[in-house]
Amino acid sequence: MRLFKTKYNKESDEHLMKLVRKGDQLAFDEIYSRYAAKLAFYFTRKLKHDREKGEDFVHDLFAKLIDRPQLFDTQRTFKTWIYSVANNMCINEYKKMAVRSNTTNGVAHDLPIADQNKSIDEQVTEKDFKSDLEQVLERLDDKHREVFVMRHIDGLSVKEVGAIIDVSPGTVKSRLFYATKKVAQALAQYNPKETTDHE
Amino acid sequence: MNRTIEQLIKTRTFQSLSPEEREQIREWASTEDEFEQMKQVLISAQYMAEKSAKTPAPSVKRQLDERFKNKYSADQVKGWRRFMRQLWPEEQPLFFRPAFQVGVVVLLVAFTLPFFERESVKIAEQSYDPSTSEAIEELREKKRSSKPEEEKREIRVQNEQRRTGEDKGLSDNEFETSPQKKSEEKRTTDSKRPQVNKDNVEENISQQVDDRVRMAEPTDNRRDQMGSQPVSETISAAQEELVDGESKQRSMKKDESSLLQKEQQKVEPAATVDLLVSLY
Repeated sequence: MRLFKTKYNKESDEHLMKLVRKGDQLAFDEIYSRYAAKLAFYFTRKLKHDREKGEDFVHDLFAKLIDRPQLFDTQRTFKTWIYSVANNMCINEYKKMAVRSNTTNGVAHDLPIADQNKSIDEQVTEKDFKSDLEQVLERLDDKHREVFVMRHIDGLSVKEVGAIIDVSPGTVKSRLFYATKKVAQALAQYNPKETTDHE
Repeated sequence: MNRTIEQLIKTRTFQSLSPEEREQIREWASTEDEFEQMKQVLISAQYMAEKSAKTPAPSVKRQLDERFKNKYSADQVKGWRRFMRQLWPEEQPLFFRPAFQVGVVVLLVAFTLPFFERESVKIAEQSYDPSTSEAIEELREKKRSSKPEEEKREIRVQNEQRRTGEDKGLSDNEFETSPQKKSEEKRTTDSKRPQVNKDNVEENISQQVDDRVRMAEPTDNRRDQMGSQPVSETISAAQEELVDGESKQRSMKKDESSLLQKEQQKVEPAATVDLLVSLY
């Protein structure tokens, strides 16, 4: 018990988790606001852009947090831990999808699902950097793509990425270098200088 | 890619880089084109992440909230146990537990208050001398008791005088000479004792002596029959006693006044305690 009211937005993730264990609803809300959007994006991206599935996975992940908060080791970094759990959930899902694809009648499940919320015009004119980047990333092998996305899109540090995928920071750095170089080369057409040169 | 290189690529232009910085990023972007490509990728990836990260639907949060309530409402403790848990939360470090903090405060108060009290008592003892108050009491007692004794003594002397006067009688010469002796004796005693209100004392003594002489006068008729020596002796004895009594009284008064002065100078213990508490 503290003398002053807890400022949840200034507390560390680890301390918030301690409060969640005690049944502090506000601490849980703070954790949710910090990670829900990021994890939703992470799941959506990892699960072939299925937004609904991504949200379901977010729900499942936070439900785990509520039911068994003791799974989180307070000695670890919360960010690393929650992304590891998310990563493991995705790996399990890949396995399930592989089994399903073998049993289905040739219907590809890994096709990107179009965003139903956007108009047709928007979808047509969306041939922009984002979609090209996604395509380039799709062409990359898993280990390089994973590192690139975690570092540059999810905003995790090299150390955190290493802890989540269980590789050394040195390996992460070399994979990152390779992936970034590849992506940059593939997206050379978006280089403003080159564009002006072509014109 | 460490953060320094990333920041350099994101925030600077290739032309503005120093040779050291160019050397630092050479592995990532050796030419200006490569540098610009890399910049584009990093900035766009970041922008894409910010744009794409959307909070899940409110229904997800609502379901989770419901789950949270169901889980922890069962765990909620009530009444005395809840109060005890608030006082002694086991998940908090020892120093942050309210019961511990309250205990420390109580101990501090318990240890410091007697110290203050002892200090105040010491100061009071220093300023308050019990022997002086006892002495004052004794003096008062003496003063009270000395008056009746003197009176009794006077009566006794008078009776003796009467008796001796009746038995032996007094001679005229002795009666005449006795005041002179008295005055001589008085002078000697006065010189021995401190010189305080000499005149008053002398007057008192002479008055008392005269009174006694007057009281002894009825026995003049039988002066011849009586011896003159015992009367003069008793008078001188009475004079001595009177002088002693008065000197005692004066010294007692002196002592009393000095003690009273001392008492007035004493510092009140309560005032001292207040002063100490305010200082602390």
